[in-house]
Amino acid sequence: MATPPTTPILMPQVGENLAAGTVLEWHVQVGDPVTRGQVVLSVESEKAVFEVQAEADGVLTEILVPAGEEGAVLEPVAYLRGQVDTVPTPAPAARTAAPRPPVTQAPVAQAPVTQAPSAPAQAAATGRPLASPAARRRARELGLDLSRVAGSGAGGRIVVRDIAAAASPGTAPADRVVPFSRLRRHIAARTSLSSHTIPHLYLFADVDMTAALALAEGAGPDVGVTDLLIASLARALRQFPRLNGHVEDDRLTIKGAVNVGVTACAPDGVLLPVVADAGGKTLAQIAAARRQNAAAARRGAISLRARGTITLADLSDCDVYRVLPLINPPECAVLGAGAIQERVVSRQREPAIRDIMSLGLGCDHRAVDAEYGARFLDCLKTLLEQPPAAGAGGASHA
Amino acid sequence: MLPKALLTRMYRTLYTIRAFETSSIQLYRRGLIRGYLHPYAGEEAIAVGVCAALGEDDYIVSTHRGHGHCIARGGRLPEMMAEIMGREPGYCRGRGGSMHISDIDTGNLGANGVVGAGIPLGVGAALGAHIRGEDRVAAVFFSDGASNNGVFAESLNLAAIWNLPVLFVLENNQYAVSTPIEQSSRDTDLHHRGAAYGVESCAVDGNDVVEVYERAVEACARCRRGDGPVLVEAVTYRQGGHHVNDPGQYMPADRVAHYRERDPLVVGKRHLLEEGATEDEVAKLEAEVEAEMEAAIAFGEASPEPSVEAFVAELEAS
Amino acid sequence: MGAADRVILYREALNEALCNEMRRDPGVFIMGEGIAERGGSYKVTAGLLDEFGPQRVIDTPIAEASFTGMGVGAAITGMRPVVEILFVDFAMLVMDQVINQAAKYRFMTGGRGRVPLVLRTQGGVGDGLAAQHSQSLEALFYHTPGLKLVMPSTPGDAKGLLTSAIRDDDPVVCIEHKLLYLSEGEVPAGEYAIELGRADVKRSGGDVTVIAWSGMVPRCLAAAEHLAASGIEAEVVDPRSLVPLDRDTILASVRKTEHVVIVQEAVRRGGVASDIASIIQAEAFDYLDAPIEILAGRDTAIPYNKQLEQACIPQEADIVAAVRRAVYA
Repeated sequence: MATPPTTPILMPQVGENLAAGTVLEWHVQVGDPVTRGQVVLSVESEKAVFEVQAEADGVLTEILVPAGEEGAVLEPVAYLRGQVDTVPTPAPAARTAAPRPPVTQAPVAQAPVTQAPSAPAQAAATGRPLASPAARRRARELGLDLSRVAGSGAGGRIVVRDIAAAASPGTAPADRVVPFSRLRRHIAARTSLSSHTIPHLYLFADVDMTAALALAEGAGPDVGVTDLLIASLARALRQFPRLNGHVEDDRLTIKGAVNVGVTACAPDGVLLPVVADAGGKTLAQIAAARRQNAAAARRGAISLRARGTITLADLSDCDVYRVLPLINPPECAVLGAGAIQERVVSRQREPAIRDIMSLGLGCDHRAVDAEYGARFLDCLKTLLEQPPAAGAGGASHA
Repeated sequence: MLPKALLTRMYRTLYTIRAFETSSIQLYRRGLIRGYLHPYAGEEAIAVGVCAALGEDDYIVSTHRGHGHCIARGGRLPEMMAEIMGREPGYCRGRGGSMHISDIDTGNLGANGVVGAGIPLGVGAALGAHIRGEDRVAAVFFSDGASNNGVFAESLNLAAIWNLPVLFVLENNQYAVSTPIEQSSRDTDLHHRGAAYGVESCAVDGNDVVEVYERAVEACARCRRGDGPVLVEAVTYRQGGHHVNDPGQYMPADRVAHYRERDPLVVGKRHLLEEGATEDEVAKLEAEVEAEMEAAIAFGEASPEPSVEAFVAELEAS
Repeated sequence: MGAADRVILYREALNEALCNEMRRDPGVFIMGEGIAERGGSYKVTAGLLDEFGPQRVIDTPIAEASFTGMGVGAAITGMRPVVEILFVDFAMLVMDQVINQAAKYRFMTGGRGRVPLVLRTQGGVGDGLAAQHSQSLEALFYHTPGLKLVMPSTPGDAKGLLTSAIRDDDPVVCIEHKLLYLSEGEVPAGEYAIELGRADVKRSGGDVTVIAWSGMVPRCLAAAEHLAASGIEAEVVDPRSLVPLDRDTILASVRKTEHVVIVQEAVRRGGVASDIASIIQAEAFDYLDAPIEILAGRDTAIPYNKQLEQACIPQEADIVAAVRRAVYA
């Protein structure tokens, strides 16, 4: 059952510009029943005596201003508890006091007194740089970080001319030194080594991924095209094992297991966590391993238990379709996979739209020739375009 | 007839006012006085006659043409000169100037730049005295021009209904700036207005210091008896335009000449001679006044200008 | 200079406006102290008595409240009075008639009553006229709904604004400046009206917006020349009409220059400059490169002594200094 509403009895407006009235006499006591229209108290102002009537039925529950005392005009002097459904919700007491002025934010800088020199501005208490509104707007438009701009205005305030100086094409923008992190230094060393010591040979093929996409789809939500690519890569390498090796000046060591290093984003660079023995894993296992690796990489730490034997530069989530990746020494090869794009191709000399992925194979020309690499790519392409039944193997080509 | 000593004093004051106004005009022309200067020349008998009838504790309020009243009320010439030259030792520290010159200590509530505005101020002073039960009269000087302003009618009525000790001195010099009285009042006997409010009223020859004085004495006695305010219309004429830069070309030559013949100094001197003073005595008196005037002017010229820095500091401290 | 422009005095320009409008409209008549025979204390109404006669060129006794009130009554009943109050300081005697009557009559009558009254007066510091003859009191009229307010700074503006004020069907207060009556400027001959509520850029510049009206305008222009020699180009914006105020012109200038100095002869507290500053702050906040500088009269009555008097209102040097502060120069 609803609680009966409480109605205030208000001190009436007792005269223009009068702020208070005095309760002369209460005609009822706490606990008395009251009917609508009943005179419950008399109030007095400088000018006259007024009778105040109850606006609803109810019981007087509380007297706030006893007889002889003053109450502010239009403020409660007592409360009634009314019957349910008979008492209208009271309107909030109108305030007769002048509205409080809105709180203004204290300006950060002291405004100068007429004809007096301006006081030096204090640095903002929040630590934000001191800047004029116009300067802030200009900085926003230019995408400039105010904390990098020196202020020449009063008290070090950043003003428009400072923004103009910071952004002006005529003057050289300030240099910013970003030291290499450990990972960056590692990447720098490795890529330099690769670029300087390995004669790279590049071959490209465009693969129709229609069947592969369907297969990945059918393999469940955890399996992606990249996993399929890894699996197919491992299979293809069984037939072209020279590409799964480590190269030195005078020899190639063909590795037994296929350990695919897959590029994964780390906080400050790229890592190459390895999916070990990709040839011995099912698609689901490959997918799980790759996911774990990616998570570890995002944390900035990966397991280095298995040494990679080939690297997959996976750019499938960008819209880049071709890449010339660098071989990760001492590996013999690197495969770059671009995004799957809808392209217009020729099928039986008719135009068709297919989902195409471009593959770029980089080979160490010391160990591998173009023809070998091309046939490998062909094989990989066939595996992807016509996926064999699970478990089927193929003769290896020495 | 009045005692010679009184007549001598009054003539001396007449002469002093005339000398002061003449000097002021010269100083103005020399650039030492700027702004507005409204010479009282030609009207001296009114201020002198009324102020001679007042007691030490009485009040006066005057008009924009206020040098005469200030002098007649005992204003010191050096401080007056310094004031109208805008110097720090002036009565108002150089801040009031000619139109706002005052000397509160002698009950001179001041000249006023707003026509008629002084009238209620004077009546208010009388009210205060009345409430305090003090025996003071407020002599309120105002012009015929002011008598057409609403504030005059209201003040007259209030003084009447509250029985205040006010001597309303209407200095009718017959012009409100350049507007002749005939154009601004249908009944040019302005003292008739007093009767409409139940105020005892009369007219006097404003150029005859004795007539003014005698009427003023009667009026003050009446006020002090508690019989209410009195309106005295003193008819006079300016010797010159409204202010120092107004040549008064609208004033007809014959009237100017008529009132020159009745110059208050001429009339005042005649009274003095009739009471037994000699031409030599008069000449001696005049020479003394002139010497005083010289000294006052020298004082004024030598007085320092107020300091701008001190003024600004004062403003910023308040 | 237009073909019909010629150089005349500010007071002559006002005279032309009055004369043209009185010829054009027999309902226009003028009232004030000493305006007929004498042609006015500042000679603004010279010659009008001869052409239009004493019924339309009326010398009044010193009874400001009543003759202003009569102007209101005449305006309500079909005339177009131009009432002169000799000094804005004396306008204090007519405030009931102007603020409670003229300004409110149209509203209180639900729009059926109109008061096409012009109240002409003058203010500002002159040469030693002291406390009761030197004030700048435009804020009192600015603050009153139902009044329009113009303050011409040049002879051309004086003629154009007074003409429009007389033609306006609502009460307009026109405050002239006592030191400008003898100033010269180009004024078109014949009828010339400037629409109320249109500001005038008196000088273009890209570095700072200087807003000023009436007697401060020439001072700001002089300061601008001085500043130009230092490579600071000031844009001097003269609102001309304070009510209605041309916000668009002011704000466009502020957005262009991003620095603002407002120069006002009147006392700062409760003055028009502060209101304009608050409008700029609200509408062009992101375009302010510096706090808005306000130069205004000091918080005092105007003293008689000359040095003190001049220390009480903005001078050219003060304006130059304020601009330098605003542009961080």
